Parts: sequence; C-alpha cells; structure tokens
Amino acid sequence: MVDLLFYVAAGVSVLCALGVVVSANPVQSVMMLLGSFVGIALIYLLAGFQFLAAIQILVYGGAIMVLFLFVVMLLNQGDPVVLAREQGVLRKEQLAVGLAVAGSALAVLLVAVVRTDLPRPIFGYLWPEGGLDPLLGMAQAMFGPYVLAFEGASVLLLATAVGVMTLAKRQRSTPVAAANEEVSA
Amino acid sequence: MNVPTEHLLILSAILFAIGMGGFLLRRNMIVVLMSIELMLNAANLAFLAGARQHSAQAGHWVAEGPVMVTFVIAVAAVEAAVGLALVIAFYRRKQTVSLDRLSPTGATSKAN
Amino acid sequence: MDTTIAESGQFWPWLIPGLPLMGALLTGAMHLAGLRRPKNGDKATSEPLAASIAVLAMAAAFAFSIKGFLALRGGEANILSTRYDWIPTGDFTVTWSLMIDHLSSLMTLVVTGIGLLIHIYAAGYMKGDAGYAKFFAYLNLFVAMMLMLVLSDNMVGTFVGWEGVGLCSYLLIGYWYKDGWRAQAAQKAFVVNRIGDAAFLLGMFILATTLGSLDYSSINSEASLLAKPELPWRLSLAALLLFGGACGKSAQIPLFVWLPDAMAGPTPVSALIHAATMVTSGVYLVVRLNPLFAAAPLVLTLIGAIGAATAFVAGTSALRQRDLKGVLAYSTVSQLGYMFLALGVGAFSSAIFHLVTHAFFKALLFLAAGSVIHGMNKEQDMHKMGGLKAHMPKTCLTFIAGAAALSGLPLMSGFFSKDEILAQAFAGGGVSLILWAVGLVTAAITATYTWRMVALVFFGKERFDKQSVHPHESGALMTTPLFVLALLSVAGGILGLPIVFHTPHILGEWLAPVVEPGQAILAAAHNGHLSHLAEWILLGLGAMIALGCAHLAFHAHRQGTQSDLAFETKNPELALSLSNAWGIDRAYQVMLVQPVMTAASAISTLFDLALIDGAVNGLGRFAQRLGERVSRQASGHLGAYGLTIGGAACALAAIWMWIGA
Repeated sequence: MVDLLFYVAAGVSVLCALGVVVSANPVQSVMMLLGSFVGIALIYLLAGFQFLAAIQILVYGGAIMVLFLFVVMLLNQGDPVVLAREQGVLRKEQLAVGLAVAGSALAVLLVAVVRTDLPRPIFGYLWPEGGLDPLLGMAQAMFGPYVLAFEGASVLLLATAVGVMTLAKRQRSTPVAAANEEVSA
Repeated sequence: MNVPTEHLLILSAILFAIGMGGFLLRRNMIVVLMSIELMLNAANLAFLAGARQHSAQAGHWVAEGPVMVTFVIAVAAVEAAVGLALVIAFYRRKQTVSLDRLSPTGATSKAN
Repeated sequence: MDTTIAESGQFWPWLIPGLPLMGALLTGAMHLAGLRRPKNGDKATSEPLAASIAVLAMAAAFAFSIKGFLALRGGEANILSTRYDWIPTGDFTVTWSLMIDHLSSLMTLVVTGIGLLIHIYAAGYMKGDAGYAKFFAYLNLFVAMMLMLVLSDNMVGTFVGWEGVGLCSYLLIGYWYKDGWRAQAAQKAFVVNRIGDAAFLLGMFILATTLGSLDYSSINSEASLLAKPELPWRLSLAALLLFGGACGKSAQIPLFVWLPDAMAGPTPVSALIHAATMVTSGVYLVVRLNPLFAAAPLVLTLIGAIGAATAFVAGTSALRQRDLKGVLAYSTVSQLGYMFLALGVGAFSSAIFHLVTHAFFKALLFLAAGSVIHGMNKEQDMHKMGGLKAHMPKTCLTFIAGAAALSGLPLMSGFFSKDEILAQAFAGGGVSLILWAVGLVTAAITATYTWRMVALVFFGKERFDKQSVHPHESGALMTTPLFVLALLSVAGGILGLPIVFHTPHILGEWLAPVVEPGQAILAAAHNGHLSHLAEWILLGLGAMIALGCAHLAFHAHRQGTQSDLAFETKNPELALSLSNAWGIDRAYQVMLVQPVMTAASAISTLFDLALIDGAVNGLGRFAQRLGERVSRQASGHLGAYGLTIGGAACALAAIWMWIGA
C-alpha cells in the first residue's frame, strides 16, 4: 500500500517534470515544477527522511518557487504577446542532438543502476525512531565534522545576498531606465 | 516503504535526464534555471537513496547523505537567486530572456 | 582513520625537540622582524633577548632530557611519545613518534647539555654580530633537528633530523656567507653529505621493502631473527648503504673532506655541530641498528678498517696543520675514526663511551680555541701565537685540561675511553689486532699533535704583532662553560672505568639493554676476553705512549716554530701532502669535481639549451597554434557548451563503466 504510494508520487513527479520542460508558458512550468517538488517531498517522507521532506516543501516549494514565480511575473513571461516574441524556433538537428544527449545520459545512468548489485537489507528498509534524518543527529553532524562546510555555506549565502542586490539594482544607463525617464519627461 | 533502492535510483535518473533535456533544449533562461533545479533534485534523490541503503545495511542512520542534501538545497537556493538576478539584469539590457540573445553573435534566433 | 593513537604515549617527550624548535621560530621571527643590531653602532637591545630565548629553550630541553633520564633510571621501560600518523599507506605506516630509551636518553643529555653550554658561550662569542638573532635561530633549529634524529623511533623520523642537521650545518658553515670561501665550504659540506644521504635513503628503502617496517624496534627484532648464516644479502647491502650515510655525516674516508673545510663557520658551531653532536650521528645510527650491523660481519669489518684508516690519515694530517681550528678538525675526524674502529670490532658501548667523552673534551677544545681566536682578533695561525698563557690564564688552563683528555693522559676521560676501544680491538684477535696496532699508533700521533698545539699556542715566545693584537681573556659568559666542560673532560672517565679497577662500568651497564641484541649475535664469533694482566699491560702501554709522545711534542715545540720549519725544509713534499690530508681533497678535485663540471657544462649546452629548451619552446608554439585553432570552437553559444558538457560526461561515464567491467 505504502509502496504503491511511492510509485504514484514517482509518476506524478516525472509527469510534472516533463511538464516543466515541455510547456510553452513559464507560469505553467513553475507550477509543474512545484508539483514535481511536492512529489519528491512525498518520496522523502516515505523513505524516512521527515526533516528533509519538510525542508523540501519549505525551501523549494516555498521560497525558491515563489522567487521563480515573482521573476516570471515581473518580466511579464505570462503575457501571450511577450511569449510569442520570446518563442525561438528549434531547428530539427538541435532537437535531435539535445534529445540524443539527454537520452544517452538516461541510458548511462540506467545501465549503471541496473549493473550495480545492491544487497537487500535483511530487515527491509526500516528506519529508526525519528526518521533517517533525526534533528539532533543532523545538528551534531552539521556542527561537528561538517562545521567548516556549514560555515562555508553561511558565507556563500551572505555573498549571494550582496551579489544579488548588486546585480538586480536598477542602473541609470539601462535602456529601460532611459525609456522610463523619457516617458516621464 | 519497502521499495528497493534501485527504483529510487531509476526515478532519480529519469528526473535527471528530463532536467538535462530541458537544459539543453529550452531557450527561455528561466526554464533553463528550473531545469537545473530539477537536476539538483534528482541528485538529491540519489543521495538519499544511497543514504537509505547505507543506513539499512549499517543498522543505524548515516549522517553523510542527509547532510549533503541539506548543503545541496542551500546551494540550489543560492544558485536560483543569483541566476534569477542575472536574468533580471539581462532583461533590463536586452528586453528578453532568450538564451539566443546571450550568444555573442546575438543573431541565432533570427538566423533560424 | 582512528589509528592515530595506537598506543597511549605521553606528550612531554615532544617538548624535548619542540622547545628548541620554538626557540628557533621565535629568534628567527626576531631576525625577520628586523630587531637586529642597529647600524649606527648603538648597544643592541635585542641581543640579550634573542640569546635568553635560545638559552632558555635549551635549558628547558635539557630539563626534560633529565626527566626522561631519571624516569629510565627509576626502572621505567622505554618512554614512548604520542604518535601522529604521517604517511599512512595500507599496511605500511610512517608515524611521527619519539622513543626515549637508554641510548637516546644518553644522546639527548649530551646534545642538550653540551648544547646549553655552547649556547651560553655563543651568547658572548657572537656579541656584536649583525645576524645575532639569526645565528641563534639556526643554532636552536640545529638542536631541535639533532634531537629529532636521536629521539625518533623510526628511520624516517631520524632521516628528517638527519637532513635537518645537514641543512643547519650548511647554514651555519656559510653563516658569514659574504666571504666567498666560507660559502663554498658550506656548499662542499652540503654536497658531500648529500652523497652519504643518498646512500642512507637507499639503505632505508631496502629495509622498508625487505622488512616492511622502518621502526627501530621491528628492524632490530627482525634482524635478530634473521641473524643466521642465511642472512639475506639485501640486509647486508642495506647495512653497507646505511654505513655509507654514516660515513658522510661522520666524516669518514672517503667522505671526510668536508669537515676540515667546515671550520669556516663560527667556532661555537664547530664545537657543537662539527665536534660534539652532528658528526657523531653516524656512530649513533650504527649503534641504534646494532643487531643489523652485527648480523653483517663483512660490513662490520669494513667499518673497522675504514675507521682505523680514517683515524690514522686524519691524525697524521693534524700533525702538520698551522691553523688552530684545522688541527682540531682533523683531530675530530681522527677521533670519529676511533669510534668507527670500536664499532667495527663490535664494541658498541665503547664507541658511545668515546662519543660522550669526545663530546666533552672536543667541545671544550673548540670553545677554548674560539676564546683564543676571539682574544687574538680572529687570528687562527698558530705560528702567529705563542705565550698566551700569561694573557689568558683561564682559557689556557681549560685548554690544557681538554688537551690532556684528548691525548689520553692517564686518568683523564679520553684515556679510559680510548683504552677501552684499544682493549676491545686487542681482545678481538685476528684481524682486529691490525686495527689495534693502527689505533695504538694513532694514539701516539694524537698525543703528539695535541701537545704541539698546546706548546705553540700558549707557551714559548710571543710571535704575534704586539702593535695590532692585544690578547685578552674572554668574559665570564665564555669562560664559565669552559670550566664546566673542563670538569667533565677530566672526570668523565668515571662513566666507564676498566674492569681491572673493580668498579662498575656505569655507561656499559646503562647501554646494555640497547646493545644486547647485537652483542648476542656477535657472541659466537667474538668471545675474546682479556685477562686482568693483559688489561693492566694495555693500560700501562697506553699511558706510557701518551705521556711519552706528549712530553716529546711539548718540548720540541715550546721553543717556537723552529722544529716545524725544520721538518718542512727537510721533507717539503711530505709536509705539503700531510697538511692537505694526503692530497685526497686535491685528488677529488681533479678526478671528480673537474670532470663533473666539464660534463655539466657540456650537458648544459647540448642537452639543456638545445634539447630541453627546444622542446619547451616547440611545445609553447604548438600550444599557441592549437589555441588559435580551438578558440574558433568557443563560439559563445550556450547550447553548444551544454551539449559538449553533457555529451562528454555521458561518454566518460560510459567509458568508466566499460572499463570497470
């Protein structure tokens, strides 16, 4: 029963992922991506990673997706007129080569998975109380052996905050700014 | 859940391939970024599949997988933020989010 | 990897080499920070600071050495330090770890004790030198490395120390590098040592591959196990190569030529490095691995022969030196030869006994000579000295004490240690008798050159220019260490009184646990024991020879330089070749150095300029052209990049899996 739920979630996330790539409208893509993430979060939960499932929903589903949606909206990517202008035509060779590379990646990965002989655990895939990512244990690992990486991530986030502000700041010389100034004048 | 690890890995592989396809084929920068997020998620799934297998064999939880995934999520957030900021900056300059305009020639889409 | 702390060792042994190392870092930092003597000739404020850091570091290391010694004397087993993994590779792991056993404890006492005295002396001797702090940094670094050498419980650690002392020796010989010849002497020492070090390294490799471990404990036990007639020839080869390394460091034929030149360094350096400690590390190494050498009797015989030859050749060269430090340098080579002679007849603890007493009296002689040179405005030519007894009585007194010990006058420390070696050689019988005879002749030579030196420097007429040179006694900072060392030189013989005195041989009993395995292996071949009568006769013979030669030499030379000059006019060629160490140095120059230089310059034009430079330039041009071509591929199309990355990753993964299968 629970296993069946896994396959359902897997199917949903694969279909949604396909939707992300295929759909022409970026707003649709964002929604599909959200669906895919929720499916994956469910799989985490089923596999025993309760904390990470919550993080997946909160960070991906909440923060990152909203960020994408904001940008899509901000740049008018939902507008059919804009979309029509943005739509590039893909040449047949390009399509073929891209599909071939992606397909060969899939093939290589699948062959690798199939050829790897993983032992089945004797007692099945059970997890201890508190899940496979107990909060206390995670905290001990993060601030124990991985404290350098953790601090590195903090520095990275800080640098990102500064960098994003610099990048996204409206600059006087940009065409949009110039146009706006002309209009207001 | 008693699904074998192989199935989790196969799911991960499929998601990764889809993400790669999107990354290679789509022109819209925002969608390309989303494809990258998809690939990162596929990698996370593979990490956790491994962690689960490892834990089941060891009989106790193994820290490396979940910790790694946490870091990947942090880096993914960073990547999305920087990527989108770049997209916005690019849009200001070129009034488009098409990758074709990013190329130095800037004329690929027209040549098509 | 939780193998780091395999055994529960203690941390404090690390302080013995660690404290001088810290001293070196501190004084080195002082030098780099520019706390040097101000240019305008003001009183240097940083000098006392640098000297006290260095001396304190030495004193602390000495204190810890005493702690280790007392712990061992209290009956404690060998003290092991904390172990740190250095090179963990599968089942062969090299660790940083120290071991204080009876041998290394003795060596640390000698190194830190004499080192401390020499540091104190140097604080006075180097006063006013521009690189005062740098000098102490080098000196402290040397002591740290020497302690690493003797304390390490594996050969790799010893090799680190071995190279470290070589480096410090180079730095200190060339300390006044602005004089070209001093820099050249440093280079010579370095290169000659390198030949020995290469042999050491090869020997170490052979041991590692044959025995699978470089820990002394396991080498020695393995060697004991293999001490059967079917000893693998590889172990003999290893022993031979390690002796090659010892030859380089301990200045034995054929690698002794660097030591006389090494006197270019400041005198405290000559005392510490080129007399008392570093040059004895070869002896230490052989004793440390005594079961290995004992199991290779041919190598042992070779060691004895080379030791005897070196003792004789260097002793005769010392006879005709005019440079005060030159006499001491050749004398050091000669005494080291004695130690190797002792090793060659399997008298390991006698070699160490002579090492210790030699450290006392040779350090004393060098320091006293330094005091003379200091008082004489850097004059080193003995023909321009004479009559200094009146001007520097303290130096004269202590110098004579050292000379008495060196020449083996009865009841001095050198008398007992030298006599013990000769007695052991005599007891060995057979080939050892030849070694004994050479040793006896060398003893006569030693007494001769020693008392010639004493007479020329301190007695007779004053031959220096009284207008420009005003000999004066050195300060208390320099004379105090002299008196301490003089006491040790005179009384050091207590450590190993002969059996006929019916007193315990302190040093022999102390070292028994270390040399036991080697002695056990040798016991079969070597069972000569002297009767008491024979030993009395040998003692008396030694005493008579020493006294007689000393008397003759002293009286021949106390009048001045006449007898030297007479000898030179009578046999000019012999005098010349003697003063140049039988021309061996010159022969090397002609036979080795010049051909190598010629070949090197030929190779540099043919091989280096044409082939290598051509290849490098061609490669550069090739890369440039290739870059031009490839840059056309970098179109800037993101899609193309993505495809390349993805395709290449897939291809690599596929190849990897294919190979993996």
